[in-house]
Amino acid sequence: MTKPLQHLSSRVRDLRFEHWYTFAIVLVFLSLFVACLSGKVHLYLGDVGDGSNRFYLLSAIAQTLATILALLVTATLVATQLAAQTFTPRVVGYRRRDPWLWGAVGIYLAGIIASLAAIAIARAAKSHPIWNWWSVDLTLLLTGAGLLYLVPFTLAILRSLEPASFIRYLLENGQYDGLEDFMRRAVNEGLVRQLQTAVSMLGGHARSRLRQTVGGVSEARRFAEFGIGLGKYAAAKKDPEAIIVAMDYLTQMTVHCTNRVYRPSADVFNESVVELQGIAEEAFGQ
Amino acid sequence: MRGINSTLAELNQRAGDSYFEIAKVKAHDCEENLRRAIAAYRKSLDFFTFDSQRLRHAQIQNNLGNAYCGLAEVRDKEANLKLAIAAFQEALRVRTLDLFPQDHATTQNNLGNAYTGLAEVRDKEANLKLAIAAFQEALRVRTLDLFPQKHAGSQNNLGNAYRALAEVRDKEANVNLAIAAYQEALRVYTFDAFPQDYATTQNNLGAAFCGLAEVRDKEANLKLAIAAFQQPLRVYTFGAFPQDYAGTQNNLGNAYRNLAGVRDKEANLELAIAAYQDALRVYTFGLFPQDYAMTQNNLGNAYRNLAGVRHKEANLELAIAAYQEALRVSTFDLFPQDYAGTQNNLGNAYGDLAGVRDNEANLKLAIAAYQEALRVRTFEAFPQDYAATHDNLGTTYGDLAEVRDKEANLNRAIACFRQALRVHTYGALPEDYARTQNCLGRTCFELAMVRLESEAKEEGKDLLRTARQSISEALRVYTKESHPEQHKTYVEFLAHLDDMLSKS
Repeated sequence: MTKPLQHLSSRVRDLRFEHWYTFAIVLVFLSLFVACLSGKVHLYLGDVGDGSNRFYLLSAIAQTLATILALLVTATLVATQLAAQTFTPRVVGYRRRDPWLWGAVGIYLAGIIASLAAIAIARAAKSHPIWNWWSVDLTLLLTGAGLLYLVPFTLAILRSLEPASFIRYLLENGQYDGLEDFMRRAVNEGLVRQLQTAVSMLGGHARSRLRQTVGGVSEARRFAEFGIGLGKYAAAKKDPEAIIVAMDYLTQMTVHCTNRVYRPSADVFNESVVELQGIAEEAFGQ
Repeated sequence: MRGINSTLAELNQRAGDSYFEIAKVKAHDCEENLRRAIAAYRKSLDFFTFDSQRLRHAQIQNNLGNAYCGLAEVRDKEANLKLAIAAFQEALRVRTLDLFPQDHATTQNNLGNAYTGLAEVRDKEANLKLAIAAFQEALRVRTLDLFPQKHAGSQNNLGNAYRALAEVRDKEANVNLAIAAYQEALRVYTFDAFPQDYATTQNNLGAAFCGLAEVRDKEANLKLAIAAFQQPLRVYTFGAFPQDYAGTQNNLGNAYRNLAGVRDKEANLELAIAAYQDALRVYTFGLFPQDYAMTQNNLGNAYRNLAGVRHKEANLELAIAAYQEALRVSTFDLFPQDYAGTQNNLGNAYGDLAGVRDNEANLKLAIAAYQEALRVRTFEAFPQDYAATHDNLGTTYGDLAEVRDKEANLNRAIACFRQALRVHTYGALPEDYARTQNCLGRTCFELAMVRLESEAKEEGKDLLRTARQSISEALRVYTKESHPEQHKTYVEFLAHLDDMLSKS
């Protein structure tokens, strides 16, 4: 299998339920959108009397969507606050780039705008019945999509509160500063299990990067520095368990690089173990 | 000077474990990491003493022993193995059978391995007996029912110890015990469950059957050895485990070559040659020079043996080419013993080739090769090899005497046989003694004939008397009961010598 195909297949394997769910929403939305556009399907069954029902419907949709959007933004802010307290304050910055949030904002704003536009079209352009039909159908479609989107959005927000998901996000996006903060917080709060999870995921990520760069020494130095940095912080905080976690990480990386015949990289990690032992002796010697 | 506390001691222990884990895979820095591991363990032992924290003390001593065992593989084998043994014994002060049976068994198993290693360099028999005792102690806990995998591991180690012991004492009995141990290990190490352990143990089993073939039922045991060596090849494929594949093919080649000595010579030698050539697909000059040299030497032996049944000249040339390839690696400076062995084989091949073509030239090449071998095989360092090569050299001088400088070459041959007899004594090596005495007697007879034809009659008679003496000595070994055919021939020759002595 070629490298791009391998990369694609690994990305597909990494997709979670919420991603597939969102993909399904997009597919259904597009299918119905095309069907409505071609006139094969009509979601809006028609006006009654003077057509005031249409105005009530569109107005109610706009208000509901605005309310839900406000709730979603509030929930996101609360989740962000929680994550910032648990993991790192840098979460606020990461959330600003959160595609789930912007997805929600986009869908709901589009729904609100579409409903308001449909009201305006209905009032102004009575001579274009097809356009009238279609504008209401689009609003209904966007509303449906927005409501369905609540499920993956909620799942994604909840998942972002899990440490493993958060670490994964940091590693996938190269947010190493955030990962360092996360580990330091784990050291500060004595969360050894959480620290082990982070270091273990970092090891997996480092192995993958080294594979891509065929044991690139600069990559090895970067990931060895991580272990040393953690060890130094743990030594400063007098946390032997965290030093052991860092030592295990560097040891496993040395063994991995040796087995993969990345000799210079193996030397880098091996020397880091020696350095870390020196740091530990310095910190805990009497 | 910084002191030690429990935290630092703990961290040093973990650092020791890390270095040891790295040393197990990182060959190019193995020694350095093992030294770091040992230093780290030693520091932690300053705090975790026998009196303060016995359990931890024993655990670290056990790990320290393993680190010393690892270091012994790369440097100062004897000294480091002794330190390893001391560490394991210290651990066993705490890890007793009654209190900590599993730990006790682990340390006993490690101790057994250390003694097995030590036996390679000192007091072979005594150390192997200690190793066997340690493995048996481990097996008291590591039973088949409770710890099948560990049971198999210790049985395999026990087999190795018995096989090594067989080289110095009670060969048949000990090889049989080794075979029994390997077969016990194979009850757990099945092909499906533990393919690599299965392959290793089958290889060991094959080697044990080869050893047994040297003392009993040669053909049957070599066939069993071949069957055992074929099993690892199910696991050790060329693509997946090239080095193990090559090692097993080399073993298989040796077994086929030995079998050729008793059955289907030509067919088995061809199989041996094919196996060696397969091994050489992996053991290349560039990547595995020592293994390359060893396999080329074996290949040369196989071709030389094949020359005995067909295409003599062509196969001897192939043998010589193989020996010369081996000598590209096994040089006098780098691997003197291998150099000497291969030079001796090369001499044999040239000697055989002399019987087919360019007699004098090839005999001279054979003599040069034996003399090269004798640069290493000195009387003091390798007495038996010294004697064997002198025997070969004497025979070759005898052959050369037939075509050039008869008297001088016969004198050289006699001098060689006399050198061989310094080692081939009646008491120590009676068969070799008899063979060399026979060669000496016949060469003296040849020289006596030359002298008698010339004016040196007295000298000729002296040589006849020496020849008579030598043949009489050979007859001390080749008795009527033990070697009836040789006895008859020698007695006839002795009568002929007596007759000549009386006439002259």
